[in-house]
Amino acid sequence: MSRAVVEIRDLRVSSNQECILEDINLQILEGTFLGLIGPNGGGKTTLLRTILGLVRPDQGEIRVFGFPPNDRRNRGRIGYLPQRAYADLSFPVSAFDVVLMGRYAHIGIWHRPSAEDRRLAMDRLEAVGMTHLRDRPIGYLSGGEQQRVFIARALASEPQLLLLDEPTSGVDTTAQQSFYQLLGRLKEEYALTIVLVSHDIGVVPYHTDEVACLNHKLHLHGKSPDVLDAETLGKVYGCEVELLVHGKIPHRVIGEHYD
Amino acid sequence: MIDVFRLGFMQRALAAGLLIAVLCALFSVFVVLRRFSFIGVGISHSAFGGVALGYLLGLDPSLMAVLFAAVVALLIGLVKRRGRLHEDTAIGIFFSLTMALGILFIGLSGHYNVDLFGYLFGNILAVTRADLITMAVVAPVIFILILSVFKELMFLSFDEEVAQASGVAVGPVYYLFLLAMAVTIVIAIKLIGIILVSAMMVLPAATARQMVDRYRQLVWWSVALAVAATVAGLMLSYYLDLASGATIVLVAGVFFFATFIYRSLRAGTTAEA
Repeated sequence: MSRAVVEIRDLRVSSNQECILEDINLQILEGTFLGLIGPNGGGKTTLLRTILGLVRPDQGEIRVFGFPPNDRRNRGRIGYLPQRAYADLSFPVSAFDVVLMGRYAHIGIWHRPSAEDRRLAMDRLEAVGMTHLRDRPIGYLSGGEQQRVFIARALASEPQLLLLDEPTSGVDTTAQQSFYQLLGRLKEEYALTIVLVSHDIGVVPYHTDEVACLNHKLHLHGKSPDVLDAETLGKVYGCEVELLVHGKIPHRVIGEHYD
Repeated sequence: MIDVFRLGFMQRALAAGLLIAVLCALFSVFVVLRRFSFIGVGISHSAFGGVALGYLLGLDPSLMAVLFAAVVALLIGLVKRRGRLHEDTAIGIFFSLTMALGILFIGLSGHYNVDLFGYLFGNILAVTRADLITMAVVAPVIFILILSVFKELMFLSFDEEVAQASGVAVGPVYYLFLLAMAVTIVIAIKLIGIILVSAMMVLPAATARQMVDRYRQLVWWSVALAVAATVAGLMLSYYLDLASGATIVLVAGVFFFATFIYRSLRAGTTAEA
């Protein structure tokens, strides 16, 4: 059986005296495509940032590839695509140079990117189908194209684990569909374990192997088609939800808060 | 026209000006890209407290200025990275406090020193041979330091979150940048003055940004513009008997508006076509 890429035990994270995550126990096995869903403010991004070592937990244990998140041996093994708001999209940088940034930690200070680094960046641009736009400034690309470039950058460090935070927000439905197909292909090609954060409970279960529902606590974690029922979602979202079931998976959720 | 640079003090001013122009231009690139134009204001004004304390205690004003500027630069960085305050709030607090200290120190020293005005407004006559030697030693060190973390600085300016997550030593690189900036500002104060030095850490790249869409070109253009503004500004200040710092900054300002207007006109014609 495959080994655990991420192991989290009794994790508790707070910020400004406010508890954000509590009692989190999670194991992500190699080769899994995990969808992490839950309401906004439920702690999804915080959980990703904890796995990355950007947030220090109050208590509990977290192991990534068997090491603490910040361990030097994990450098380059995790690819990260944060929410779109972080990057400065008016920055005067070409798509190719953005992807090359994914190599910087590996290259180290003082040194310039080698021919091999450039070849690798080019290869990753090709993998996401963006070679023809390599010289375009990042701000001149569409939202979907930018997202592909950022995926290529995440892949440029040759990661085994890919963490994606709301990658489809601001991307139209057609582009979303092909984006998920791309992820599936990249997962096979680069033998990736993927964690995808989204609040889009209608779409995520279709495209992932497993789904975990996070709202302060981790409510459910299981195979995608089995997870979602009205009771679970009610618990996670704290409101009454009605599911219109289409096949095995609900394709729409209508809910009304009564709190 | 070149005769003016036969004069000893003008040669020193020119040499110092070129060193400063290249360094300031390099910093201006990151200042403009990271959008923290006021960091230069904060650091340079905090140097005033150091200069004043130097006069009060009879210590080297420049050395004290470096000390004050460096401490404030690091505090601004610390507040930004650790605290809940914004960078600009930290800048506003620290630079006004060090200015207040400076004014206090001057009052205590009991006399208004003429040299002090040199520090505030810049003076081409103020660049001594010893200053120039110091600059010639320090400037290359700073230049090499910044170049050694150039790509990391670009990465963290563009996307700090991913830079840190990917294993780039964001904290050390950022503090190194701030320290190097503090030292550069104090060096530049001799020529341009405390009040105006921050302008040279914004204008070159702000001007270049109007013309180019790649950060490497941005660096080259910023350096070229800063050098041109410094040479032209020094000559004008000599012939017209104007303050050197103000003249250099105003020439750089003219460059900015020229490119701004050119770009606006070009954008207009492109839209019509």
